[in-house]
Amino acid sequence: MAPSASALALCVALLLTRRTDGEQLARPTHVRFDAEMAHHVLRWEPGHNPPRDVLYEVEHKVYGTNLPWTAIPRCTRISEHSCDLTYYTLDPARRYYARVRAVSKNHTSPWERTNSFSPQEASLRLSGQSLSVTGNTIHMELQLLLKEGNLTVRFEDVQRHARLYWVHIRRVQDNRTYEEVKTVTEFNISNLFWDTEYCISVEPDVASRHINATRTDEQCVTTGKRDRSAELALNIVSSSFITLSLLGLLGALLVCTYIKKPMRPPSVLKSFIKQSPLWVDQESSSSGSLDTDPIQQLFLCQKEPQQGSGHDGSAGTAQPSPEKGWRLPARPEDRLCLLGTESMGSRDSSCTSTDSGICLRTSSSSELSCSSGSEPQGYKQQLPISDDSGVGLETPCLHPASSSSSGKASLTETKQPHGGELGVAPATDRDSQQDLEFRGYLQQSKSTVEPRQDPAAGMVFSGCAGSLQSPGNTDIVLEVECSKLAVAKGYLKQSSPEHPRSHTQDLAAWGAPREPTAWDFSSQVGPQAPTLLSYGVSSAPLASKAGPELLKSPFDLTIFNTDLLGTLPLISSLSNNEWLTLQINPLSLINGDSKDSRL
Amino acid sequence: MKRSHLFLCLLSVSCCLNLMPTAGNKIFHFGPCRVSMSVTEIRSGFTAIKANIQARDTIRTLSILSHPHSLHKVKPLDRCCITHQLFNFYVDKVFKHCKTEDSFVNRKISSIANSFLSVKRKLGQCHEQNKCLCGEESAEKFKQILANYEGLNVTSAAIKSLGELDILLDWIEKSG
Repeated sequence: MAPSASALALCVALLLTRRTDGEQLARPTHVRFDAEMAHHVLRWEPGHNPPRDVLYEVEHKVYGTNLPWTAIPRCTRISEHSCDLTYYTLDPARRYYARVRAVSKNHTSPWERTNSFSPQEASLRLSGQSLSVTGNTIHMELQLLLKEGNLTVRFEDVQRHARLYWVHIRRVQDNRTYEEVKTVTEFNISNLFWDTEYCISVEPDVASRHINATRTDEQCVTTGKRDRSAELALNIVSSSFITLSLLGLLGALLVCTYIKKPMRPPSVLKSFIKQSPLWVDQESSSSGSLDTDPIQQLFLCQKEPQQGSGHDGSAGTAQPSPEKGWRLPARPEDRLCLLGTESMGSRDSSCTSTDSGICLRTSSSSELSCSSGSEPQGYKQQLPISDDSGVGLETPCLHPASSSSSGKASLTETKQPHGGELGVAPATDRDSQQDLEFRGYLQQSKSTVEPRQDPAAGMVFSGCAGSLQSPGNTDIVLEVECSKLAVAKGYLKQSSPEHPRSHTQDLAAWGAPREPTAWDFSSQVGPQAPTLLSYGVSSAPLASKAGPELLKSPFDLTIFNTDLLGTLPLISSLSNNEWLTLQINPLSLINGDSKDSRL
Repeated sequence: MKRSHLFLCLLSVSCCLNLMPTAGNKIFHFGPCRVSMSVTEIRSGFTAIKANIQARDTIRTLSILSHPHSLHKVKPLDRCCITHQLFNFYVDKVFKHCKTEDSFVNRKISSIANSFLSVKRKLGQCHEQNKCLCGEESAEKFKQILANYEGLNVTSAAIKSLGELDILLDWIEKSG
C-alpha cells in the first residue's frame, strides 16, 4: 500500500512539476549521509527560498541491483530535514544511494541525490564499556553490540578487519592523559599509580581506513591502596634469600680459596728437588699448581745462569742441577726469582745481576753448605745484584715491593734501603729488621748484600734479588748461615721463625693487592711477576731467557704496564691464589730449616 | 665504545621498525601467495576523488563488481586467481580510460594506478611460481565481471569500475 501510494504521489508531483515549469521548487541542498554506526541518518538543507509549507520526500536505492528507487515511508512528506535510513542500509557489503526532493502543495523540486553510502563509512562508536579495579590494575570490557530500536548491529560485522581501540587514561589529580592501543575488547590497564583516581574513555579505530570515531563517555575509578605489608614481607623474604645465597657463595669461594692444595714442585724441578734434602719438605706441599711454578721458575732461572755461568753450561736449561742445590722450590716464588734472574741475566750472562735470591747451591750435594765452586759463583753474581732472591719467603718478589718504602713499584730497590725489607712484603713499613729476617732468599753469597744494582729493574726481580741492602744485618746474617762461602746456598731462608709471621704477613699483604704502599704496582706486578716468571719458566729455556730480559730492563714498570699489566689482572687473581699458597707454604718452610732456601 | 654500541643498537632497532609493515601496509594472503600492499594509501587516494568519480556514474542499476556472483562467495583457493585477474583488468582496461578534465582527479587516479601496478607485478610473480591456481569457478566469476564491463561503453564502464574501487578494496581486505 505504501509503495503504491508513494508512487502515486510521485506521479502527481511529476505532473505538477511539468505544468509549472516556470515556478520550480528549489531542490534541497547539501544532501548527505550523516551516519554513525547503526544510526544512518540522511540530512539535507532546504533549497533556496523555500515556501513555508515545504515538505520533503526521501527515496533510496541499492547500487548494482535492478531495484528501482524506493521511497521511505517514514520520510514521506515530512517537514524535518533528516531521515533515519538505518533499517534500509544495513548490509555492509552493499552500496546505497538516497535522494530527497522538496514538495509544496502541488510543486515538487527535482531530486537531489547523495553520493554512494556504505555502512562501512559510518563513523565508529561503541555502545559502552565496563570497568573493574584490582589493586593498581583496571580490567576493561568493551561492548560492541549496538542497538537501535529493534535493530541489533554488531560492530565486528560492519568493520571486520584491523580494529583498534585507543584507551585514553586521564589522571584526575593533574589532568595528565596518555593513550594505550588495544586490539581486543577485553584487556587490562596495569602499572597505574596506587590510590589515584583515573578517568578512562575508549575510542575505536580501523587501521586501514581514515574514519571518524566517537569516544565513549569517561568513566572514573580509583585504584586501590597499596598493600605495603605484603610487599614488605615479600621484599624481606626475597632479599634475605638473595643475601643468604650470596653469602653462601662467598663462603664457598673462601673455602675453596683458603683450602689450598699443597704446592707441588714443578715437574722440571722434581728431579732436583728430590735430590736435595730440602725437597723433602717441599714435596709434601707441592700442589703442582701453577702457583708453585712461578717461584720455581724463578729459581730455575736463577739456576740456569748459574749453571751456565757456573759450572755447567747448562745455562738456559731451567733444570738446575741437583747438586747445585738448586732446589727450585716448587714455589712460585722460586719462579719469580728465576725470572727475575733471567732478566737480570741480561746483564750477566747468568742471572747474576738479579739474583733471584735463589741461592743456587753450588754444591751438588743438596746440602746447604755453601760450596765454593762455580756455583757460588753463580750466586755470587747474583749477589751483587741482590742477595736475596728477593723472593721473600712467601713472596719472592713481593718483598721488594714491600720494601718499596719509597713507594716505588720497584720491588727490590726500594726495599733495600729499608734494609732488607726485601722479602718483607709490603710491610716495608714494618720494621725492616724484622723483615730482614726473611728476605726471601738471600743468596748465600756472603754478605753480598749489595743493594741491588738496578733499582729500576728492581721490580720483580729486585724482589728476587732481594738486594739485601740491609747493611749486613740480618741478611748477612742469613747469608752467613749459609756458610761463609759466598756460595749461595740456594736460598737461605732468612727468615727466622718469627719471620714466618712477618712473611706471612707479607704474604698477606701481598695477597691484598693494594696493600703495599709502594707495592701497589708491584703488588700487582709482583704477584703477577711471579706468574709471568712462571710462564717464562714454563719452558726451561724460556725461563732463563725471560729472567735475564726481565732483569735487564731496569725495572720498568712500563714493561709490566704494557705487557704484564694486561695480564696482570689475570695474574693477580692467579697470583692471589699463589700468594696465598705461598703464605701457607712459606710457613711450612719456616718451620723447616731456616737456613734453607727451602721453599 | 659503549656509545657506539648504543648507537648501533638504536640504528638497527629503528631499521627493524622501519621494515615492519605499518598499519596500512598489510600482508595479504591470497592462498599461498603473500602480497604486501598498502590498502590505506589506496583508500585515502580514492576517498579524495570518490564523490567526483561516483557522481559521473549515472547508471545505478548495473554494477560491475558487485554482481551477486562476482565477488561474493569466492573460495579461498580462487582468491589469488581472481585478484590477479582483477588487477590486470584494472590496469589494462580501467585506468587508461579514466581521463577527466580535473587535474587533481587525474593525479589521484595516477597514484592509484601506480599502486595497482606494483600489486599486479607481485601477483604475477605468484602466478609464475604456480601459487595462483585458476580453477573453473574463478574463471566463471571473472567472465561475469567482464560481461558486465562490456555491457557499457568504454568510458562509462571505466568510470563505473573506478567508482567501484572501494568495493574491490573491501573485498580484498575481507579475504586477506
